[in-house]
Amino acid sequence: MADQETHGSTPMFGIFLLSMYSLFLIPITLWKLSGGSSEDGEVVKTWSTGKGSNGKGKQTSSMVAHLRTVFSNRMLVAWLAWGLVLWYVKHSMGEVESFDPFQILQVSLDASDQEIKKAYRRLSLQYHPDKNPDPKAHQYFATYVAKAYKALTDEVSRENYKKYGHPDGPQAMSVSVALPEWFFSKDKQTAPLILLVLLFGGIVAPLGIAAWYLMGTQKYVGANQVMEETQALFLDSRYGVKASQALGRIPETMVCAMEFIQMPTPPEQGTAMDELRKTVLRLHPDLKDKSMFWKRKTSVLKVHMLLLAHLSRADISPVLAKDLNFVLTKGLPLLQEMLGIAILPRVQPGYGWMTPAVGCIELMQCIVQAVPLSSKKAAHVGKSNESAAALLQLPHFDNEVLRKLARKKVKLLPELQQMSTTERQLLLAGCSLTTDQVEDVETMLSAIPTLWVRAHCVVEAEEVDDDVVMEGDLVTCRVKAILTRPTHAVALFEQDATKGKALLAYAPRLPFPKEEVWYFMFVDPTANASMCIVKQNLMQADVIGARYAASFAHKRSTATADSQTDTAHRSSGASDEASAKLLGPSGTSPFAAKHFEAGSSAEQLGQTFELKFYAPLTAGKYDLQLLCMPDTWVGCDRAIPIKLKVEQRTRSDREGRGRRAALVQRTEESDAYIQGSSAGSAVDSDAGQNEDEEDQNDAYDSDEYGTEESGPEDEEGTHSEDD
Amino acid sequence: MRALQVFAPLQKFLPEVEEPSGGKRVQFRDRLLYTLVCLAIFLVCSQLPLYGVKTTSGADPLYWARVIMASSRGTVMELGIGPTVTAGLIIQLLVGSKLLDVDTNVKSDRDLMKTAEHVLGLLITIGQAIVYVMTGMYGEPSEVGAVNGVLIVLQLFIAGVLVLLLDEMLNNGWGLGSAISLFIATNICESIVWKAFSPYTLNVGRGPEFEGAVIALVHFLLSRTDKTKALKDAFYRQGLPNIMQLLATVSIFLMVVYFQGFRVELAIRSKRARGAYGAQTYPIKLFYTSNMPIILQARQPGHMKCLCNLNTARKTEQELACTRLLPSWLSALVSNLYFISQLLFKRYGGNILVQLLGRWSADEYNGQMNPVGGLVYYISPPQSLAAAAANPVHTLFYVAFMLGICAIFSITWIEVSGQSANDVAKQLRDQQFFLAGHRDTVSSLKKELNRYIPTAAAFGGMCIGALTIVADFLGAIGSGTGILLAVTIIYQYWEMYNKEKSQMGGGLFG
Repeated sequence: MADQETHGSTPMFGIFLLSMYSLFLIPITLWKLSGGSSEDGEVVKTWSTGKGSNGKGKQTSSMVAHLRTVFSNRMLVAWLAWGLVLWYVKHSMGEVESFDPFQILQVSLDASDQEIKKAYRRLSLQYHPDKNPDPKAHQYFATYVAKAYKALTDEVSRENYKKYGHPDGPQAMSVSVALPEWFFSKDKQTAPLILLVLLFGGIVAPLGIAAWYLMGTQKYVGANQVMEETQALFLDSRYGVKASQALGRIPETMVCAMEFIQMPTPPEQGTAMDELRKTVLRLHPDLKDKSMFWKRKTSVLKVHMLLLAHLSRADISPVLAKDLNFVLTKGLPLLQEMLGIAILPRVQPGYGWMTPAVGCIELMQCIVQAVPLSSKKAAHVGKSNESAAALLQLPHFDNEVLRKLARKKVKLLPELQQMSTTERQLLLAGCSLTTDQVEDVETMLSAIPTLWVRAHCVVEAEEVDDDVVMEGDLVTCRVKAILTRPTHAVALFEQDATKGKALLAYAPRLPFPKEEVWYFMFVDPTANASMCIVKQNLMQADVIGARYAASFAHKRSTATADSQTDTAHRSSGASDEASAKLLGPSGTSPFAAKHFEAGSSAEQLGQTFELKFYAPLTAGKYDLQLLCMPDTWVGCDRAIPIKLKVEQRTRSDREGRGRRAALVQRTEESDAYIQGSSAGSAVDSDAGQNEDEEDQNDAYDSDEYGTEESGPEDEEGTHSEDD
Repeated sequence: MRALQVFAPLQKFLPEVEEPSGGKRVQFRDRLLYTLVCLAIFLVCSQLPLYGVKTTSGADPLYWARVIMASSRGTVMELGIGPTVTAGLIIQLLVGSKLLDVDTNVKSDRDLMKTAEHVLGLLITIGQAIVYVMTGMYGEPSEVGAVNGVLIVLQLFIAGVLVLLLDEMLNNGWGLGSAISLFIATNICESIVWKAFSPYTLNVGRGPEFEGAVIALVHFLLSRTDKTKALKDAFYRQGLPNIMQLLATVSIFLMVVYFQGFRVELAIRSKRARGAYGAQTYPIKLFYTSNMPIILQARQPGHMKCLCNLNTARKTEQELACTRLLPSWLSALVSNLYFISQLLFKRYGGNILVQLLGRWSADEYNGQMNPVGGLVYYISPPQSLAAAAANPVHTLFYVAFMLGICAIFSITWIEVSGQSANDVAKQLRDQQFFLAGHRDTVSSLKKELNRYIPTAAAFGGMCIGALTIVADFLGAIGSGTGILLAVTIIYQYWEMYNKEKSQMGGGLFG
């Protein structure tokens, strides 16, 4: 094929271009039409403001709007170009010289022999040299009409036509390339040039672009897309994450990220920086003497000050607004990276540091809700809702409002949550908040979640679970979680509306939407060890919580007449208000509520997931905690105490013949267990070890390692029931 | 003295690629980058024409093997990966049959084996290059001249060294997978894409037609007034790639992907670790021989990654790179037979023995030689379904031959390459694994494994054979073997990417 002279053909190039272009354009249009790129419906708001109303009558107009977005200007231009190419191809193609006997004879495809003969005769009259003296007509008759007739009647010719497309058999083949003619019109000198162009344009350039792109994104690595240098800095012994670094000192490390160090400080920010300095000094007078704070690089200092100002909800000059935005956007992934570094195995195989890990998550909460660290510091994880920070996260709340509230004997967030709406509105109005502001507070309060967790630790062994934990075992902690929010009880809330991919947290102080993510961390507080951490999106738990709320509200409305069953409310509010209160942190645990469990399948009982961690290497009793912390809300943390008794491992256990192996065997041959194991293991084990095994079986006492259940203030919940 | 020691003095003369310093794992992005560079070098090489060639017209005796061997005619990549693969096959066979005594656990032995493979590969390259020049593939030897002849051999030799280095670079952990599989997959995909979108137009009397099937469809639909006939032509035209072939290719592609997932998972337990960590599965895939998943897929909790195992994993990955290419070797053998038969038929066409081996005739279209009789004819696929029906003896023989040879080859191969039940049992035993619910002895492990592995190998081999036959009957582009190889390789790259992604967290673009 290659030896023939290649030459171009411009109309063919048009067709080639058209096909490739259509292959690109049509799928893209279809994809856009099917709404491939639209991102709405993925995240669900956790709050309802009651302001926006989406009418369903707009269906048709939204259809038009959708079409309009699909066929934006760029798309229209693209299709216009397509049409132009099509027109050009149609126009320039002209007559393609091809041999089609049916067309030449002007008969249909399924014409009978008679018709063909008739057509041939008719054409003969027109073109036959006897009738038509024109030499052109003669030529046409010989090359086309006669051959076409032959092709449809003569056996050999028909075979040839079928096989090679021409009644004379295979024709001389010519090869050309569908490229513009000028490409080939030059002399031979251009051949090497074309080769070079093809080599570099076709191979080296695309691969080079791919390589360049990869090099460009090289800077950011890992799941959090953090600079490599940042990782190194966070691991550094001087600037990096330290074992005892609690919340108050987490920012020191965070601001040392390479992303922040490289931030420019243009001279026009000078006055704004001075203002910022004053603001920070006013907020944190103690910083005045700390020369270490001020002596750092300007960009780092700026980031730190911006962070402090943001946390205190101070006004920031618009010159710095962009920088603040950058700090907040980058800050959360950076904290995640620090969290990852904090939990690197250090204390023991698989164990990381607890204090910095908790600190990182707490700082995330503080950044999202703009709460000063000083107010957060005091409280312990389990009691985080008792700190001032929990109240300060509410919109428009500051120390002034807090003082006024304290005067009215309201000091904690749960107290505020337990009030009825009218009561609360009165109270807040008394604290010099305007109606709009009160409404904002209400919105936020309605979105604050409450987590209900039930955890159970086992060792997974084949098909059976073992409650006994031995040294260095891989322990599986099965967690069931339900998330409730006051919004669930509001009638407007459609429980089936939560179909998206993630929950959106209510964070008015954050310049971008933030998804609500929960961290579940297994820790040993005495050893400052974080044994395992899991990041969870509690979408399903939220849906279950909403369903629970609905069923509860239903139950309640049927039972309102019977006032004695009215348990969990102090004021005689409406029924949904009561259940709203129930869904707050003071209600009864959904796990405890029997009416919910009855007749509901296992998956309805909460979102289930597993945490896996290695048991400590030395036997003994451990008081562990399962910390459940959202990254978006202050004061919703949970600390669930879990007692873990770690057994010593015997030799037979180490060799895989101990209790665990027996357990496995028991499931397989349940009846003939004893005989089977003694007969089966006769080769490798002696009687002494078998006895050993028996002894152990007796010694096990797993009563106290059953289910640990928690709701916050379970006592309080029962208390209110007694009222 | 062992036979392997012969290669020891050659070790320092051979160029080699150093492993990443300190056994450090190269970043995924870096490895992707090196792989891309590798690919670019290969693609450029397969476009660069050889210097000193007078003519490359006439029948191409290696037409059959071009796609699988990743070679392109008249270019620097004339030999493609052929010599490397052949050398690897020979050494593996020698080692497997214990003719060459190698202890794969000793590093110096492994290095020597690698040297042996490389030396043999380069020797084959030189030999093949000389044969090509002498047999007049680049024009009559007298016409080409001594200087140009030497130059051609030199160019091919340098290309051989390049392929070797690229393969070693990727294998040593600088890139992804092995260069051999990368090149094969690239070449096959390239040919499929070319057959679908080729801008070349041919005119055989019906007017100019595009070579590319998809472009031809558009062209026919636009230029013909009779749209039904245009569609029919685009779907069924003879002699040029048509839409049916393209569809067949796609369906074979999907079929292979589907079969890839077939596996039996044996539950094994580690004696060292208890609980869920100790319980693992040992998957035995249906395509056991075509790609063996020896790296145990450990079910590990999210944050506990066995980084220490990476080095051993990489080692096994390397060893497996060879075994993946079984179909390619098979077709290499067959195509070598074709090549020899063609040469013999040209020289001594009258000899009865030569005729028994194979009779050839040139195709009317492009002068391509096609087998029309003899053994070679019976082991070559029928040209089309019609041809298959016209000569049922040929068809039956071909089917039986393909299925049989695939099964036999697979079974032999697992013995030779150290994947038999015996070897796997030993391996598992060394790693302190035992089958859940069975006694902890090598013999019981072996017995249990013997129930699955030979069956999987034989049946998998037959499946591969059957797929190849179906693909050839349907006229799938790039031949059945080619598609099979491409899918397996792409699948492996996909798995590799997923593994990397789960380890790195973010993935490439995340």
